[in-house]
Amino acid sequence: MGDVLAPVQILLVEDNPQDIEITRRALERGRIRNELTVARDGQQALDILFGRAEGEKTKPGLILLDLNMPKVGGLEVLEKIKADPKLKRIPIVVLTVSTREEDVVRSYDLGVNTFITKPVRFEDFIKAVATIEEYWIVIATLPPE
Amino acid sequence: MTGLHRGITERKRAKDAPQKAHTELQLRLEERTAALAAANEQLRREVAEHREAAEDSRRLATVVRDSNDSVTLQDLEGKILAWNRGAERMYGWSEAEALQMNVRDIVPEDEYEQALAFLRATAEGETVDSLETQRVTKDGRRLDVWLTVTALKDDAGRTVAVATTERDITELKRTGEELRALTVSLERRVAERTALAEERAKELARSNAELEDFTYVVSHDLKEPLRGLEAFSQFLLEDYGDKLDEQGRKYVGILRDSATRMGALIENLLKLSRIGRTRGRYETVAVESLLEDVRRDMEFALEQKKVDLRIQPGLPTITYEPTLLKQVFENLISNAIKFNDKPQPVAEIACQQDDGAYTFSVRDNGIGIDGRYYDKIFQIFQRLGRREDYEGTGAGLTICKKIVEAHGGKIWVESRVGEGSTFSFTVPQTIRPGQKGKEEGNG
Repeated sequence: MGDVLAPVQILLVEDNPQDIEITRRALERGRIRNELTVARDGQQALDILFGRAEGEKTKPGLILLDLNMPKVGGLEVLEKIKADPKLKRIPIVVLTVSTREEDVVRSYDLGVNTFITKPVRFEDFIKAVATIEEYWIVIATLPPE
Repeated sequence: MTGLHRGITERKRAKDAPQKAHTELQLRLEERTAALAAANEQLRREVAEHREAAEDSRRLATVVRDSNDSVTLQDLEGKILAWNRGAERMYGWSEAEALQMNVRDIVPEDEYEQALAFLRATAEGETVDSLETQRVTKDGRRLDVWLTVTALKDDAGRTVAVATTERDITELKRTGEELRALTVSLERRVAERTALAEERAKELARSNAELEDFTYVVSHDLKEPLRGLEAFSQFLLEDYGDKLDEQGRKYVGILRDSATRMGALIENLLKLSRIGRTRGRYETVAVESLLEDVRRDMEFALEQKKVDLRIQPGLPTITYEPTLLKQVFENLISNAIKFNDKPQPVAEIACQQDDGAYTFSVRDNGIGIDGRYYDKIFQIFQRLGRREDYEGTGAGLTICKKIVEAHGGKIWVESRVGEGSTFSFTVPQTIRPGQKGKEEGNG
């Protein structure tokens, strides 16, 4: 958990522009100040996290991860993050359209912190995102960095 | 001895002679008479014995003569010496005819060698077991016969003739063969049918699975753009609402409602397809407490319409997938409320047990359903009421039907327009084979 006053760094890994916009808007509605970084696919997410991307290496306080993406998929990203000693404690929330049991099981096996199916209605989407933020940034006690 | 003495003796002898002869004669007569009587007795005994033996023979002969089996005698060359009525009936040759014949005449050509060997073996004193063979009738029909042979011997122990008993087993054999053939063909047909049924079942399962997968995938893929439609029409209202006139805002509102409605339809499609996809989370369900949960979940709607929800006490504990059973009751109760124009709507849940099944019923005092529509209402997206009057997607009863049938039951409705409807569904008391879940015995 970082300084409550400083905005929380959130990494959204999502290829669908529509869902990027919806998530961004939902996060704006939340009561927690945050700075959103968007990775448009799994490869970009890994580049950002492992410092291969342009600019500074980012270590977010929360990762929202889509599963179904071109090139490097969400499960692979999840596996790489959870295998890295420096990144593995970042809470990762899978936010996907999938309700496939094997996706759910595999995600938890790889160490995901929460699996959420994207709600269809925007109101529900806002609620879900707000709950994620609230829970992982305010309520949950996480190990020190 | 002196002379005197001799004289006396001779005189006496002469005097006694006739007397003595008489006595001897008498004696011999008695002996003869006794012997004669004994002989007579012996004769009578023998005659009686003979008569008895003759009687025995006669009886035996009758048995042999009238036997349904063919009983014949033949000498060692096969010449027929005796021919009973059974033989006449079986072979069609009269006794007079047969006595002019040889065994060869009633043996099929290809069996003759075997018959001759059999005859010889019997003559040589070999005991030959009964055997199955064939014979030919006067009109050329072949008979299957069961043959037994007995050697007849003279006093010196030589076989002089052979007695043969033949039983016609043609019919028996034919019936047996027919039965066997029938059994074989029946077995083959059963196997064919089974294979066909299995193939059909597999095909059906495959196409069902495909259909369910299809529905699932389509529903999911439909959700994606729908989420955009729903969200962005809202963003439009939020960000540009003041730039739109009333008509414009109304249109965006309709856009949103349409998206929301489509979302509900998709949600129901997904629910339907999930009933087929996720199978077998059977649990022991106390229906009464499950219904109390339903009552809690529906509290708002129940209070709003002042519904009297009556749950019959003592409802059974059954084996079911609890979330699905809940869906069935929720759908039925929600219909009971929705399609109800009475100031005091009533929904009454009861259960009856009979014939190894529970029948649950949800009775209401609502608007009722015309008998013409009893089937239609269970079809997906079929609605009887106007959309403006009754909200809902029209999938509720279809979902109920699918759930009930997936659990081996059936669902139906009885109704009177204006008085109300009773929806009933059955739950088998025993789990069908192949269904997962634990058996429980509570009734």
